[in-house]
Amino acid sequence: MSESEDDRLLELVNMQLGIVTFAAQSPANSSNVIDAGGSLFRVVGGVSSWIEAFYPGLKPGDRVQLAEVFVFLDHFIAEANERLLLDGSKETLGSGPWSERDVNDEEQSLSATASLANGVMVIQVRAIPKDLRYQQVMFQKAREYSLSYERLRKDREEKQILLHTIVHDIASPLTVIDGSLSVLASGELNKIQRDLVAGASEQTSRVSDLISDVLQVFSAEVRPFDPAATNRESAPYIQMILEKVVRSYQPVFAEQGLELLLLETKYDDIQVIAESAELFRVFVNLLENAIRYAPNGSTVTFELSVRESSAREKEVQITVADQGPGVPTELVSDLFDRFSGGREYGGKSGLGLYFCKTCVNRWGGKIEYLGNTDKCRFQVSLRCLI
Amino acid sequence: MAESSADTNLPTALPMLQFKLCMIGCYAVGKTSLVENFVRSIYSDEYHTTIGVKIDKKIVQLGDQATTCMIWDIAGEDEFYTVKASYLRGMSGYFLVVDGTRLETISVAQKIYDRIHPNFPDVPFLVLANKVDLQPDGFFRENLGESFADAVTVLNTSAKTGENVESAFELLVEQMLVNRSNNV
Repeated sequence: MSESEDDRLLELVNMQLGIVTFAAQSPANSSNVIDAGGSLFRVVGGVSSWIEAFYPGLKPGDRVQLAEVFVFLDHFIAEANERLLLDGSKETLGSGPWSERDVNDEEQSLSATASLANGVMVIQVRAIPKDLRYQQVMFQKAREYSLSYERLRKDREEKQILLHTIVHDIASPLTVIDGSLSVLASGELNKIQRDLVAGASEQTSRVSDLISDVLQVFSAEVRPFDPAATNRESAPYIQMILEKVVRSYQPVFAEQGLELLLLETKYDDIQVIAESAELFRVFVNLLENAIRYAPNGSTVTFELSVRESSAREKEVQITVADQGPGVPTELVSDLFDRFSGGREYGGKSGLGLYFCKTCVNRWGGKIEYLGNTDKCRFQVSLRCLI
Repeated sequence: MAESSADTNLPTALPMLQFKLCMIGCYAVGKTSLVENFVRSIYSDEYHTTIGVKIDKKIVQLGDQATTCMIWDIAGEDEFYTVKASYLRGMSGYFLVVDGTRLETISVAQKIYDRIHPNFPDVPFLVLANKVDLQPDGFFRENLGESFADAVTVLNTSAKTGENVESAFELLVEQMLVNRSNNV
């Protein structure tokens, strides 16, 4: 192919792709680097119409100082010098997108490539490439979603703080009401008055329990992971915690005609990543569920097992099983969500299992409902302290 | 590149200087809006993310000295995009922009600062706590964290109301001029 045919081909390609090609006046090498501000570039091939907005009247063969036309290229050519001439890279270097204003003060999006052809640096500039628009839309959407998410999260946090402040403030007068009812109950009352006071007292205590649950859940949600949970001095011994739970709740279970047992007792040296007080509360919440549904005369059990979760990690699994009817199918998928098992399903506040999930997840563990083929089973998996 | 018409034919007693000035920070902190306010005195509430880099120009006159500021508004940093170090090449000063209403943008600015400062130890910069119009009590320096706050000058700005925008650019240009005369 002759030189003129080459030029004609390049012209066609340039026009088709909207590219303007500039070739450095002299060959470049590591001792003769190109200076965009000082070196002349020659326009090669055809000239796309968009260049008029930056350099009116530019024609093939014209000589220009590129950095005077495109400010960005001063930087890009310096980078190309480093990569292509000094490091000897053979690749075609891409500038990434940039925008600058043309002679009419209109913003234009551009991109450029730099390469070496027979030792001559060639810079090709494209206007508003399509892929930039896609990229822009994609980034725009991703960042808008991210900002919306952040705003929602902040709103929710502020509302929660407000709500919990109100809940907390309700608790104080409730204590006074409860105290006053106790004083009334100790006085001389007729049957109707006694029933009224007893009913009021029961309702007060239900609201107090609900407030306590709400505040506990809030504290579990906002509390960050406590590094002490991974500390050998303070990380809880799982068997010791379970023994304490069983000891505390056996009398309550006996009162209800139920038995509470811990089946395994050979893991007294296993420490888990968790906070003791909250871990105790997790098991209490699971027991409170069991006591509500287990049939009279049945047994509720804690079973403990340890397994290798990976080459370097072990986890302990605690299964709580009762002989109750299990969780209604329609509840299973949202079981650990807030208010999912509330009063309409015979629960207390609908926050107990949510509290369990919040805590266990924070410790890097897992809580699951294993179904009720023969027994109703919940399983808590916790990371062992190695 | 076109020049803002208001900036042409300024009287200059000293030869014109040219500075490269970069806008850096997390995404959506208002870098582009600050530039738009400074260069064109306009503001839009709509958010348009910047891709790559946007280059603008404004002549700043301080006393007898006129300086052409080439403003490189660099796309904001997030988990998908990190500020390209090569864009900062040859800069004479920079703004680290944070959004005073989004504290997470401060840690992004701190990370950028930790990354670029070793390469530009003598380059003057200012921290702009933008969107002060959304914060009636202003931005608290304490939010920057102790070590960072001690090392930097912080200006509360609003691209929306224009508060401190011009003075921020003038202050930085002043620092760049001082820095230049110290290095000559």
